[in-house]
Amino acid sequence: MTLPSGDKGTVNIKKTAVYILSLFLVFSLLFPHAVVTASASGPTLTTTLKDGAVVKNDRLTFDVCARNQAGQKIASTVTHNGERVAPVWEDSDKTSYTLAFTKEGENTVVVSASSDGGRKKQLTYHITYVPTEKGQVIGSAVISVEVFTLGCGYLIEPEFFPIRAGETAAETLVRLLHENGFVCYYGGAVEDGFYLAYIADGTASAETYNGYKKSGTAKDPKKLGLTPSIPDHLHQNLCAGTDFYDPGDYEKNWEGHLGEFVISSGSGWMYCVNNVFPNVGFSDMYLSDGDVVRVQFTLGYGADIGGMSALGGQIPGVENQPGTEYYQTADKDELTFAIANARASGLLACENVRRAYSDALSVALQLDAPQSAADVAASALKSALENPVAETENPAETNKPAETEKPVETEKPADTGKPAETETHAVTDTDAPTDTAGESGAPADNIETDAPPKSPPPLLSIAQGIIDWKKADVGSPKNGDLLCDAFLELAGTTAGDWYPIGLSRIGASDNYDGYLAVLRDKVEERYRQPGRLSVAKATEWHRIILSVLAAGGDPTHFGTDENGQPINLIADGTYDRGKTTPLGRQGINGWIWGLIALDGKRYEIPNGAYYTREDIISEILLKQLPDGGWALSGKVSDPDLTAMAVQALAPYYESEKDVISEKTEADVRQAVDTALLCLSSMQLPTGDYASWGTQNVESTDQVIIALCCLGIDPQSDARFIKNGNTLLDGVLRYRQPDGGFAHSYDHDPDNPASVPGESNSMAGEQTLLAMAALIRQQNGDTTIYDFRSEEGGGDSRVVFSDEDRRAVDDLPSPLSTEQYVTVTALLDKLLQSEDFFGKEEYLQKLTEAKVRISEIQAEIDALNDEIREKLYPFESISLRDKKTVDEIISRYEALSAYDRTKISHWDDVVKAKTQIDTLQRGIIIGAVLAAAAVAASVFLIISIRKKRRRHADEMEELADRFADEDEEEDTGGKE
Amino acid sequence: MKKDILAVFGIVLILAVLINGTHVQSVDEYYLTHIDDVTPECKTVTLSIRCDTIFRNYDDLDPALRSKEFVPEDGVILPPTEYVLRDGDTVFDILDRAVRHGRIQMEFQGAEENPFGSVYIQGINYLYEFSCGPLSGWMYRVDGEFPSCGCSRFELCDGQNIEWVYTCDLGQDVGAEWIKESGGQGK
Repeated sequence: MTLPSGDKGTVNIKKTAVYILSLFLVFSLLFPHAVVTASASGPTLTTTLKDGAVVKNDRLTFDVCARNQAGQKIASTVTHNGERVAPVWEDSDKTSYTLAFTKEGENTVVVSASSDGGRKKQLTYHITYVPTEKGQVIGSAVISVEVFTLGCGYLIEPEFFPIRAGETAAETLVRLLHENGFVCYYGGAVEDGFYLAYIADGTASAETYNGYKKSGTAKDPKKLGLTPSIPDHLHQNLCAGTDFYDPGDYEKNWEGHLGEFVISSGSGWMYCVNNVFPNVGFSDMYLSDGDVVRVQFTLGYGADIGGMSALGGQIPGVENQPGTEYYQTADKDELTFAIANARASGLLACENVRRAYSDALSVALQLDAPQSAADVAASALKSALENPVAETENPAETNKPAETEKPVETEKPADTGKPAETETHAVTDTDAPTDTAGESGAPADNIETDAPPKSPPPLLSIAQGIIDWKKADVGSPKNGDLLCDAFLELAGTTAGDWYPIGLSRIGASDNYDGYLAVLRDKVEERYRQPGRLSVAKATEWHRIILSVLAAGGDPTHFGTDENGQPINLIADGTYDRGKTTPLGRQGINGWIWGLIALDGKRYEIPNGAYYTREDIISEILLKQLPDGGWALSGKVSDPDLTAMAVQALAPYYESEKDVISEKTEADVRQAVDTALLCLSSMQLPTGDYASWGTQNVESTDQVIIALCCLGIDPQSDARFIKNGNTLLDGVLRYRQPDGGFAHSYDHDPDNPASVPGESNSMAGEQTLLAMAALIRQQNGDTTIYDFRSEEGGGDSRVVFSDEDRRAVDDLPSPLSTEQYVTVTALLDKLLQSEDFFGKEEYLQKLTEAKVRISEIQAEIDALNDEIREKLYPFESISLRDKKTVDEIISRYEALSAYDRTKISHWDDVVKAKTQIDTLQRGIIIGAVLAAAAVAASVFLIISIRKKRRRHADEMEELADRFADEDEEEDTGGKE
Repeated sequence: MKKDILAVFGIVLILAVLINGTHVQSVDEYYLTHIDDVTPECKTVTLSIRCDTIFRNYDDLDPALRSKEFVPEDGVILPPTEYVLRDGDTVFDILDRAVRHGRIQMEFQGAEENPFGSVYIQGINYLYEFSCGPLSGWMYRVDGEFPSCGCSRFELCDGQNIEWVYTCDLGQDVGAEWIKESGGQGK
């Protein structure tokens, strides 16, 4: 086959194309999922280096944290002026490197990491090295030595300490200890492999201690002078989390030496630099000007001081380290720096500085102080230092050096007195009678801190402590409402309905109208579902009935159902509940709470109702166990259920007995009497109760409420005082310094959300109810679940205030479900408010907003359903689903950022979309390839045909020629 | 002649690729779409859902639920099935994925809506708490033991076996001996 010479170039191009295509095909055959596009973000890389830093030390240690997209640690590379630097330590989290500077001036440090198919991330730092003679002072670091875990404050308070060129942190630390009058015993050497085994009395003379070398001689030797008193919450953790733990171990065996294995098997010295616990030991760390170094004593392998991740720390036996930190710890560097600053300033004589300083110290010493407290204390101290108030203002006070020297001790009691401070804000004057108000007034602080431990704090201050704790828990300011927007989201749930009841029953003012508005809206919404409030649990109605009553609403007319009929929670949830599901479907709870709800206002049961009062009462009586109590299951009485049954039966014990038959009345009387004996016998010597095997506060709360319902004074009834401990003493055992209450001090498998010895929401709400019951009894009010004296809502004039109007004007556009609570509450208020100019406009705007939000909510629900219905199982996703998936995505994109968070399993949509794109891409590529194959085949066929034809032509030609020759021969032969 | 061989080779390759299927994906796309594929290297857990205790308490069962649709004949709603374990997955995450992919009905109460701070499984396959008597509801076992925490607080490890079982007697009928002092997913 010959082609015209002019076409040679085209042939070459074709050839190259065919080659490339073949290569690509081979490649894609070998790697069916080959990298074609590289769009992802690749690894993440962070370091503790600072670009543009000036370094005077010839060494600099820093950490690199490199992760791939999946979040796993990956290898990193560091070059220093082009030369590779080897890591000095690695742990599961980060890698440490030490730079050794030789080149004066600018040094370039490049840190890089690659992952996820070769994607690379690289960071470049320019660091200026100013060589300094070894030993010359190159700046100062703030250093502190802390024994907070022993409750002993600072061993060395934060101070600006000079750091020297070429000096390791170990050398700096030893100098610091010596200058402060202490020595240490250590392993290794200060230049290499230094291990701080003990910090000891400066007077210690032994050259070695347990095989560790003494560091040298202290200037002005001092004793450690420690009297360990381990904070309670840490104590709990240590009892559970360490093999060996003896709080008295230091005095017994180690007096004057504090270090490894002292008091607990997890103890030892650790240090953090700029709030990072380094991987490397003291002798591999070189400090820089401005560093904050906190040397801390741990009792729990670092888990008590936020040093869990530092496996390269100084603690022997870290393999025993607990899985998580014991509690959250704050970054206290700013605070430590501010304290050092205050000490260096010489301004401690100034009243405001001194106060800020002692506040700062008390926060610093608190192991689990929240970050916000540390930040607030640091900035308060900083601003006090900037504007010191001259000491002349209060000369008498400044002459009290004791206070500045030992601020810790003067501060501590104030903490426990806190709940008493604000009680007058939340409790309205009209509702709190004078005797309680007097009791809970200003002197409360002193009563609490100075009185003998037996005298309990005033009930109102206990209640207020819980309310303040819960406000902090939901993020509401102390002087704001507990029933804030965040809380109202939970209206109609077990987590959201009990606090409003407790609040209202102690007479605290709060946002009850907002609560009722949201609750009504949610009830209306749930009434449109098939099971209404709940298919099986009648207690959903009972709880909501009580909270509606508490908030001043009417449970017999609470919103409207889809037919426009008023919702009667009392009928549907109590006497007519049996028309759909038995009241006791969920067990004894249903009967008990049904009766309590029904008696909230002693509602009359109409003729034709499913249950009579006697029906419900006899169901409860029927379930009483031989030992006199009640239980969810089994034959052993449970204090909670027994107490609740008594609460339900209490009205019929005395006051309401005429509504039931004589027979039932006698039965109730006997049942309650035996139940009280049963409850009395279950009470523990500490005054509290155990339920399901766990000693806890809620059972005790319920017993208090039961007694109050019967009109018995729990404080004086001999049946409920054990070993001198009353029920209230039993409850107060669980009170926490933050004002809240712990569920228990033991781990409770039944209540997994509760942390032993930590304030807990359910413990708080039930204790609040118990306090309400006691307070009401003291004041001679109706019992806690008797709402007959409460006026229904709508009695006072509602004013739609300027603030409310502003809130409407400030509604964002477009709206999202984030505004649900705000809009629902405002609309409800506006509907009840008096007329004012422009009301119509607000009404229209809010109604439209409410409708819009419902639409968005419906769209969110529909989209969630759509995803659930259409996208599973993943294997069945095909190109046919493209339209569905694209539609889901465009609907999702139409939602606001807040609403998008309400779409669950969005990742599965992304996954489906990717799959469809891949399939589509496959088809396009397949089509292109098929076209190429067809073209190549055509080309082949044509060329073969051509060749054949030419061959045939040639043959023909040849045949012709032969034929001619033959003819010639023939003719010639003839001739 | 050479050109012909090349062309034939090309065609064969193209056909081979077409038969092999063309999946051209980036690494991320690959990982994304194969995140739940069980491979020998990946971490997995096994999950099953059963409700056979109901047969012993059939009289207590809500009449509306007395059907094979809700209570399968063998009591097995989901036979033991292997699922890929992603980092940080809890028992709830796996259950949620399993019911979505298996198209099984499930309803739960979010962690913030109850005082236990953990997701509470109210119903699976239309069988709810209290559907079969006042002591009935869903509980879960991991490697044969009933954990003492809610399902959204239990983080799983490679190879663990999760069983969701329906109890009609607060756990006693499914072998939770300790139940005398406890209450399953949390009262």
